[in-house]
Amino acid sequence: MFDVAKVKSDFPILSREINGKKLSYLDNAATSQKPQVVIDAINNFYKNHNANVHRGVHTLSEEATAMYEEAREKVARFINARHPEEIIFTKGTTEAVNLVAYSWGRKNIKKGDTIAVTEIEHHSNIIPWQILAKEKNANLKVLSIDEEGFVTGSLQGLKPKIVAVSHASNVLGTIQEIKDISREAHLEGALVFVDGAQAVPHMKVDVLSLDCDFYAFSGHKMLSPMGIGVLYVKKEILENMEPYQVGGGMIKEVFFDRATYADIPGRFEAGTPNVSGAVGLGAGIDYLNRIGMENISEHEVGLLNYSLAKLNLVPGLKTYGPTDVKRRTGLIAFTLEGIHPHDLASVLDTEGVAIRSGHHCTMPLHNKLKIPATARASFYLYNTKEDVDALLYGIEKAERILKR
Amino acid sequence: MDIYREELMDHFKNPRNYKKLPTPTKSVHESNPLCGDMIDLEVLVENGVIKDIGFSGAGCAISIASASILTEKVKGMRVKDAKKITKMEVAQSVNPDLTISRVKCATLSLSALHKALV
Ligand SMILES: Cc1ncc(COP(=O)(O)O)c(C=O)c1O
Repeated sequence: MFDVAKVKSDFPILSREINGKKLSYLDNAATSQKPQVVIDAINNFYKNHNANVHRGVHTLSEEATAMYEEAREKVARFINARHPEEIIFTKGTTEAVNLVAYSWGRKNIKKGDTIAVTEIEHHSNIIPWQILAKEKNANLKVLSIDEEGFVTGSLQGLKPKIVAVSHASNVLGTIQEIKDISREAHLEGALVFVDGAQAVPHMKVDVLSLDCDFYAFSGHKMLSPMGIGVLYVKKEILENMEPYQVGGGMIKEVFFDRATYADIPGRFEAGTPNVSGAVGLGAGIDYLNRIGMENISEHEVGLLNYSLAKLNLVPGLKTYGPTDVKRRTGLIAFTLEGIHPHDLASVLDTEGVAIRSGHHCTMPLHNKLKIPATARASFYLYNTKEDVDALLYGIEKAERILKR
Repeated sequence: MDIYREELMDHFKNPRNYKKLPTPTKSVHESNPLCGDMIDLEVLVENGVIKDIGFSGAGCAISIASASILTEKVKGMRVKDAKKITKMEVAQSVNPDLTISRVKCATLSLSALHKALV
């Protein structure tokens, strides 16, 4: 394991006080905080190496290009992709889904085809597919989930063209058995798109062993800057995909009546990319590797065990998600009878505890659970039992103030 | 920062005008899909004056308390004047310390009232 106090001291923002109280940051599923090394990496890029990439022959441009491509290699190794060119930098998970729905989808989805999503998806893994289906007169099939969030809907006989599923849920924490889904999907002749926004920050992810065709995640949820994200696509598929956005940086030759496109991955990165973001992501990955993804998972399981035991003792409090903590990531959505999640979050804020309240961009899931909103505490490597205790204290305070 | 002052909590726990009207001249439903708050508001307007007003609904403490405060304020008011009430005023009267994200909760009842008075 690792020294949590030491880790905590690597994150300057965690020593802030909020409303006169020590900050307990439990909103990591929305975005994580950044360690000094990531802040320094961005700073160093702009201070010492800033230049546009790919197009220059001067020293700075070559340095910036090398740093950008080094980040791509780090990402590829981190998720065990075979080739760095299978890694496309996007601005986040949302853009990655849109890229695939637009570029792969418009070419490969035809009238009457089926696109499968699941009930647990984040809006960003629903809407691009919904629009694609409408545009192409295709069917959007919604696979059902059980109480704990595991996909139960079968793909057999459905013959979908693509299955879009999240690796880990941002509300229930449920970790899907992607390997099984990939096997089933491939038997049906479908490709698999995995939304890994909530998985990559918290566990070891290996795209080869998952055998998915597309995998997307966001840098900002894994200690890295906002505005940088990743789309992994198997090389054979990527090579046959059309560009998403077009313009500079993604072409080979341009004439007024035609253009030829750059090879992968450049073909999918039109315009000046977010180089400092990629460099920051590289530094974030280095930091995570130093701690070890297995250790981070184990740390979160410890916090889950501790907090679930305590939360489930609070009268009127209901927690959601798998009972087996090994099959969920470190977050807990819950409701408290008679107290609206927004009120709870406001009272917790007075105690320096940051949680999220609402539907967390999963309205269909909340409709299924028949609740308009939940409160969500989400952990990361720098959280401690003291943060959980502050949460519990804040819940008691909210009950004192708000119970009718 | 203490947005849940005692006076406000009294409006939440014992909301005024939390009722259905027997003969409303207008009923409206307003909701904030982002947090699931919803309010049903009824008014009885006679000769350009709000003779009676009632609300019901489910929501956070801020939205319930603000509906209670607002309905108390506008009962007996001329429609013309009630229409002029701004979001700012309502937020101020509920609690000047409301953070931006909670102002939306505090002004749900005002949106309903404005709809009812068109
Ligand atoms: C499961 C899941 N998918 C997608 C997203 C969207 O990520 P981003 O906003 O970084 O594009 C999020 C983050 O909110 C998420 O939790």
